[in-house]
Amino acid sequence: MRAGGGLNTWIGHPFVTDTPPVRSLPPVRAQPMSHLDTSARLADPDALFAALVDAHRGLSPDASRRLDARLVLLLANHIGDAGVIAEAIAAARAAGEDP
Amino acid sequence: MATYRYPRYPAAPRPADGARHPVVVVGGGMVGLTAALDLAHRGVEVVLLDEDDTVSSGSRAICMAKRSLEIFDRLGLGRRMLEKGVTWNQGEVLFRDRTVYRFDLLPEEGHHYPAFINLQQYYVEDYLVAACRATGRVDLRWQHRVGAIEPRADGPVLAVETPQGGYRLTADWLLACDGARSTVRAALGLDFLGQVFHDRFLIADVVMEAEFPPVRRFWFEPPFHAGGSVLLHRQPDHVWRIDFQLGWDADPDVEKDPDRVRARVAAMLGPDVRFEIEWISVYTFRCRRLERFRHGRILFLGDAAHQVSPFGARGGNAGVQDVDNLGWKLAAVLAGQAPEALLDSYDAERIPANDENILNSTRSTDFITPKSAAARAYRDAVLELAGRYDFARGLVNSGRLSRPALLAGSPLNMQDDAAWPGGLPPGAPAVDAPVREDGQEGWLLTRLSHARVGPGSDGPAPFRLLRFAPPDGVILPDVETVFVTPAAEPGALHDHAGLVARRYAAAPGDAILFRPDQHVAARWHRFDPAAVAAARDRALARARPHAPPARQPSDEKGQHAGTTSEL
Repeated sequence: MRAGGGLNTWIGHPFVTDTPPVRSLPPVRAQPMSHLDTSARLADPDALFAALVDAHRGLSPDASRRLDARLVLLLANHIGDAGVIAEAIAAARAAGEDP
Repeated sequence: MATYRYPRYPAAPRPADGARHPVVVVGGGMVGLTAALDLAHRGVEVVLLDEDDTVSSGSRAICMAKRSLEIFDRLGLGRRMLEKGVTWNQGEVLFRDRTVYRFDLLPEEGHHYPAFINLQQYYVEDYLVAACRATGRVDLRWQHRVGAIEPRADGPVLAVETPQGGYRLTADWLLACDGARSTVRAALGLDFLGQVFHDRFLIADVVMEAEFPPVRRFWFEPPFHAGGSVLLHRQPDHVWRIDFQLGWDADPDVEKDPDRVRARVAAMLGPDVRFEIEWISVYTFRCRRLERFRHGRILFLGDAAHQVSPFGARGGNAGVQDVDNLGWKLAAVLAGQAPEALLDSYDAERIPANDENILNSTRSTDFITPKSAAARAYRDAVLELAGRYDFARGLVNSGRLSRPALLAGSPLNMQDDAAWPGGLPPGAPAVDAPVREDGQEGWLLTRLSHARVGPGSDGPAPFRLLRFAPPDGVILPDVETVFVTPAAEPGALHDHAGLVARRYAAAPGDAILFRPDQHVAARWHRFDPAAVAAARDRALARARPHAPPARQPSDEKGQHAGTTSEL
């Protein structure tokens, strides 16, 4: 259920519900905003790399691409912070460009 | 077997040349007829020109949202539409051969009208024509085609062609409601801003006796229509709307062949369902608008001003809201109650509202028709996740259904001067609630409507003040006061379910001022006649001593976040 706008919110009007909407996230992010953490945080980097590559074994290029997309969506939802995700998108895009 | 008999309206006789009229509406579709009826109810005489001789060809805009029904209720047509229409609250999204999820809009109790009904556009227009005639104020001129327009500072001159020859007339005010291929727009040489989508869709209205429930069903890539999407909606008279995505390479003429359409429908419904095809249309769409909707004495409404994809029911419903927004303003200007500058607020309010429609419609289209391999991978990934995980259902976008505009940044709003624990901020449209008056069951929105006795009986632009207090005999000169109390009292609405107070977050002593279109103009914790008069002046653009207080952009964003819902 999306925060504040779930399917149990009365469709006809954005403001009014007789029951408060279910909130799975706080409605307003606490200040200061958190940022993308790019410090080394993985206890076993080799194992993570192997797990990602293993996940794609036997998949066609299309299926492989969808797996990555599902993975991104699951992780993005877990992070749940649009600002952090935007920083990650920018960082990923920049790292692929010529230095 | 046609389920509906199209009326044929005789051509209006050619009138004398050179007449002048306060309001001329060009286009007798849903938006033009609604505009004529709204103005007639406000006491304005209207001439309506339409080049055709009948109502909407085909069912076209079928999904009517709650706010549109409330507007039509004010115009005396809401109950009739509700009774004829199919009320629906449930939807189902399918991907390939599986149901991804089902949803229920779970409507609250205590509203006069449901979230949505489906009703063919020809019925809506049919009812509107009869209602326009009944007012005696609408001069419906069928088979009168606008040939040329000469804009002038005091109102455009139109050259009109009829079967009996041409004539000229002058309009003090011209409402262009002549659709996506607007003659008025072309005559003024105005361009649209926005984008065209490279995709084609096929609409088939089929008649069948199958008693499927009234559920909106949306398929992504079903086995019976490889690679495309399909939408199924139930309409009255056993008519079902089926919408097939065809792709940009499809040949419209080939796809309109009834045998070919029959084969597509048969593949979808299976061999045991008997059906007949009633209407076929192949279309592309655009998400775009005019830069401005007001051009001096010429105002654009509906598809003539802005266009969206059909996913989300944001075309017809936006047009009805355009009318609702403009009608009282124009009537107030014509009655000398407001300066012409009030009409600039039509742009200030309806351009952001329609941009929201365009944004939602564009995003839905991008989900339904992925434009790149990456977009398709993410789209399919969302659908694959949505069958298992709630969070991914919020990402499925098969159309975000029309909601009324909030007009949050409108210059007509009087900003709150104190904190409110929720409720409806200035700009928001009124929300309904059950009330009792003199022991009779009723609805708050009906009580906040004009023309309770008959068309024009209530003046052009009635403002109403809702006071959460027992009647105290205070009468305001230009505002009708409606008292609401938690216990039954003579002369007050009885909020017997407590829903008026709850939905408006109102405490005893509070007061809320409504504009003639039932949007909130201002609200106070304390009743002060001078503040009410100032807010009314502001909503009529009479006095602007100060610019509106700076808004916090983050607030506005917060109000819009998550306000769209999957349908």
